[in-house]
Amino acid sequence: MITIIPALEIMKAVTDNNIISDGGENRRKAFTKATELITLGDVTVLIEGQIFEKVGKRLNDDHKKFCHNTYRIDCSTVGVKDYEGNIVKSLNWVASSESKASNVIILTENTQNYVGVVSSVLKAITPTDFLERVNRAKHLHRSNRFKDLDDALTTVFFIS
Amino acid sequence: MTLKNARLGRAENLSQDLRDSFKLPSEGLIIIESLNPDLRENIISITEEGGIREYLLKLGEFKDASLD
Repeated sequence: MITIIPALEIMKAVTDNNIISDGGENRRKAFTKATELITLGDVTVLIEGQIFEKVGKRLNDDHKKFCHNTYRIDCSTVGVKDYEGNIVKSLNWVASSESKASNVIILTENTQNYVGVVSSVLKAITPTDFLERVNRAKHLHRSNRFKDLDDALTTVFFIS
Repeated sequence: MTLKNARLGRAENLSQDLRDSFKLPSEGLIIIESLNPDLRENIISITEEGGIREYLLKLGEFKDASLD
């Protein structure tokens, strides 16, 4: 199982009214690709609770309903002293906890923020790198190098 | 009409009749919506270009809030 956790800058790019920004297009594409993987393999997308609260300022009730129906919202650090207001620290904690149950990909432009938790089962990856690796995994699956897309994704993200 | 529920799916898993009736492509990511108040079902194809952002905008504009 793979859990994909988008960082704040990814969620900002998805919900920003000003979409003309460097890298924004790849952030939005990576988020859509992560969502698509839910339908193709054993993949979930987890939105950290404080990030969802922040982005929630831009969302109406239908947007929020869609997110609650589609993604896992993890509110572990919401309201917790020393974590409240510190999104990077919260994301580190949630990703580290999640990695005890699943392989984890943090989708972020700022991979240096997560070096302390990166391991064989937890990777911090940029949107550009994520899109390239997903395409590679799909190609390996289509060319029958892997019977399951899940195996191809696991190899491309966590083994190779 | 407001959204009551949404599910992700794949166009290739639907029958041709259903794809035709909702004008869906033969494959790709779809969202199956349940809509209030009459529990009407609607199925939408998510394009690679527009993605999830385009779908969210279909549900309404984003509020102009700074997140910094």
